[in-house]
Amino acid sequence: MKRKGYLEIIRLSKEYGEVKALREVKLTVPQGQWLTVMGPSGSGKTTLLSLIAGLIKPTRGKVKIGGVDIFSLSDNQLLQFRREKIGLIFQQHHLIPYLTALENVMLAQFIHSLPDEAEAIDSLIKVGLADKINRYPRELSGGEQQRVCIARALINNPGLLLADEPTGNLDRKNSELVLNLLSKLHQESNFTIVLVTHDPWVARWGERIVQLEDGKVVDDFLVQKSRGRKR
Amino acid sequence: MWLRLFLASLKRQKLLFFLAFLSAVTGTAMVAGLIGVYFEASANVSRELRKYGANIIVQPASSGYLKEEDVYKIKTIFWRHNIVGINPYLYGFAEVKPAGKKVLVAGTWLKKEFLTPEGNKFVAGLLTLNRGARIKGKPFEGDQGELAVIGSSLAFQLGLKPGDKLVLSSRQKEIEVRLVGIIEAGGYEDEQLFLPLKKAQHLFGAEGKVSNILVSAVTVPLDEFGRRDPKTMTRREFEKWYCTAYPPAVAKQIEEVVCGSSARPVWQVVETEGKVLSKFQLVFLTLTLLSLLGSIVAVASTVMAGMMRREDEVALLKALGASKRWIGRLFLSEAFFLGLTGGLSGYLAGILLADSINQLVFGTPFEGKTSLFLLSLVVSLVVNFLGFLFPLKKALSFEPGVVLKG
Amino acid sequence: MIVERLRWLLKVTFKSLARKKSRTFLLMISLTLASALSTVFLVFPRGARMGLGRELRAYGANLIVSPFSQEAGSAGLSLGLVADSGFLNIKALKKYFKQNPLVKEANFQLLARGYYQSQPVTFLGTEREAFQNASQFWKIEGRSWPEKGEVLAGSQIAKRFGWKIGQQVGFEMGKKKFNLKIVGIAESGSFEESTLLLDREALSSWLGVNDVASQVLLRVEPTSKIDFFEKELKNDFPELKILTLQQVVKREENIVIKVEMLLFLVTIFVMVATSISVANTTSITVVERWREIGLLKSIGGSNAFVTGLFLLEACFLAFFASLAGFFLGWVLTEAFALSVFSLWVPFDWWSMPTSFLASFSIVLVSSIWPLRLIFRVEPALVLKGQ
Repeated sequence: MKRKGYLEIIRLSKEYGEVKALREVKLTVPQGQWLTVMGPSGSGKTTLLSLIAGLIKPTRGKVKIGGVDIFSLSDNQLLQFRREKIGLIFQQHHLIPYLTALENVMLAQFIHSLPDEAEAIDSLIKVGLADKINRYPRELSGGEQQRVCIARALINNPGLLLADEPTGNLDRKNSELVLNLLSKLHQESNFTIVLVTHDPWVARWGERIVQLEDGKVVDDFLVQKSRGRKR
Repeated sequence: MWLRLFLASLKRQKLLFFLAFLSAVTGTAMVAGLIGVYFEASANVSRELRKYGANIIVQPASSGYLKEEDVYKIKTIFWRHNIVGINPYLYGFAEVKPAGKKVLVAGTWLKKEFLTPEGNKFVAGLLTLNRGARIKGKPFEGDQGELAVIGSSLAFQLGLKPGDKLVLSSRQKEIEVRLVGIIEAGGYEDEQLFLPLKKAQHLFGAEGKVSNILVSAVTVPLDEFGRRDPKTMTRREFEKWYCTAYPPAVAKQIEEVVCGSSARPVWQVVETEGKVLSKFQLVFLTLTLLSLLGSIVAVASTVMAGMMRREDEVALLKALGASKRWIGRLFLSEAFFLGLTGGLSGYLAGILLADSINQLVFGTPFEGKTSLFLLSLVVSLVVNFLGFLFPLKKALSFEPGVVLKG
Repeated sequence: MIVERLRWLLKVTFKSLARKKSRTFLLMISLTLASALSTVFLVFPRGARMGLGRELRAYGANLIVSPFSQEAGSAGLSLGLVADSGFLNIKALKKYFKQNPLVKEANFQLLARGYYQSQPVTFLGTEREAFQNASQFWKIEGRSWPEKGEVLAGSQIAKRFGWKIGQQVGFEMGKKKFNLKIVGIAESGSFEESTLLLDREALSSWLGVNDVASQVLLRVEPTSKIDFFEKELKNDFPELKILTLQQVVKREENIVIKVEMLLFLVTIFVMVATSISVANTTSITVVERWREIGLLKSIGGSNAFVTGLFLLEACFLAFFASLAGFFLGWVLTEAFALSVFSLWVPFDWWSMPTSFLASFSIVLVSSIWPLRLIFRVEPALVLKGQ
């Protein structure tokens, strides 16, 4: 059961002035695991995710991804690291409004290295948007936009996918679609997922649940699978 | 509640407000500054034009002389404050000894201070009438004394220098004077010998008399009405004409106080300056109007750009059930606030600028006007309202749901 | 590869501009106007200088040339002529002045003394064209040019002797006696008022001289070259007395300097204000795109990349806006110059590109300046809710 941790969070604390958002969080996530972080609002979920993504700096503690201590990297190295190793999905399906679905995916390729149209189209087909690759975000439904985001997040084959309430703005039907898609892609590519949600229903797709409260881990357990696959 | 919302939005959109404020200030400052300079520029420019020489000449109506005592009366006419230079002359020929040559002698004031009936000090004389004139040595002051100043080319011809003693003899008298300076006025003056007026009167036996008077008056450009012959005017027209600083009107007023005189504008000077001045005004007015347009667009576009970002805010307020009128009032009060503060600061910045421009170019301070203040406020307010209005209208037309979805 | 990247960047830029029409439009308007405004302020002063210079020419002669033998201190006063000895040779001088581009006008005048009822009077002989040029602002009653056997009386002398238009007046000159008809009375506000004006040729024949003048009134331009011209003339004609009318020169120079200074300061002022306004509008559009910037950063875009993207957009906009603004500004300038001074500001190959570059750089710099705001955007903002 004890596998080498792909993502290691070591005594991670984040304080915003007096407010302690995270207190000494310790977590080890093995390669390929789907971890769901749950907790009420204000429990520090988003802060944890931002720290893992390297978007903000911790007050204390370390985040190691694939053995690399990301905060020991320079800003530029961190940026480079993020491009290569991390995919991000947000609650608001952030897409550049003036670019088509395809171009949004290609933009991520572009930032990473070079745009490759065929590969980008392929990724959109994978998320089931074959007929909508040239639509602008405005012309897509919320679920479709989120699927574009997934395609974009995974286009550079990251080892770690971070998702912040990915279904927060979607109805059940669309949420299920998105989560099933994620599940399918996860199975195929075996990347690690850290998904933040407050919705227990969403948590069922993951393999392990960590409960955060007041910036501390209060519970950590593996999920009894009723759907999805087993490892 | 309304005030709290207003303050909250001010706080939340700090940068946006700051930028909008900055834009309102710059826009208003540009307009206030330019209009301010424009207000005073024509007066300043016509004063500049009047620095070098006369534009009205007063001569005896028939042959003979004018009275010296009347010279002072020129500072009592209706447009007395526009009279910036007065210089009386008494001309005559005299033989210079020891050079033994006949020269043109001009009795005049180089620099003479006197009090106007209102009790103001006024400095008259050649040196204030023609600021281009330079004196090597020193000028004589007032109208008394045994001193003389000689024109530079005459001095060259006669080989005279300051300190020399001269004997001048006319048909009537012979006097002795000491040369104190050489004048370089760049004109016919350079070939004349200058004596204090009283001394020359004594030399020529013409006590209390002058040959002509040169006057420099700040005037307005002649227009169709100003050119008309006052004899053909109705009483009311004549009053209007008389009370406008047209060169012939000022000349006429001078003629009335200087006994037995005929005062005429130096037409070439007057017409040229009138043209230059009116063209200059036109140039400046054009540029001012253009920058007014520019600043209107600049402020409005800043405000519009700011409002674009806040479409979701409007939608949220609408979703919360606020009426369009209520939202409109909220945003327009922001516009009012911006317009007011921006206009005030812009006005201050504008007069500061107008003042420094005035000081730099004309060496005179800027005298702010209430009308300029009001104008700046109105411009700033109107422009801000306009800037808010269009995007607000657009934002209000959105369905709340559309915007909230993102 | 670089070409490929660039092509893609350009595509993104173009789409951003094309898809966000209202924003692009707003920026375009604001930048175009800024550039038009700066163009007008950069180009128009040149027109104003030309126009004012032309108006100032009406001040008339700024240099007087006469033979040395003439008595000093004579002209310019209503005293009449002291002496009439000494003449200038017209032919040589005319040729000389014609070849000198600095001489804009030359008015050859012949002065002579005559008598009216034993009282001395001064005749002033001029040439028709020069006279009409010089007298354009005078107040002339009756006809403005005397034909043979006619004379134009100065207002002072007419008043002194009580002459009326149409009157025949008898004069004496030396031993000759002749009658002239007064056809007009001229008021100039200067020494001409005390003279009798007539055709120089006619006066010459009475005097029994040919092609000579007592003095030449010259208009020399530009006024800054007057000293140079005077020196040159003195060198070529040492026998001439040259008098620069400093009063006229200074008056012109002063007003040109003041107006130019004023326009210059106002131009700087307007440029600064315009730059601030443009920077403002651009700042706001950057602020408006906060979230977009955050997104680009969160998916690994560096500051340099995002700035580059925005920079490209700014350059695009600035270039087209200043192109449009430049032409708009130029058209406005020409329209103003035409309506105020009735002249065209000439297209010259030096000032066109400089004014364009100046307005372009103003627009560019002030629209790039706000891009520093990009550095302030935290990528984490994308994770937070509304």
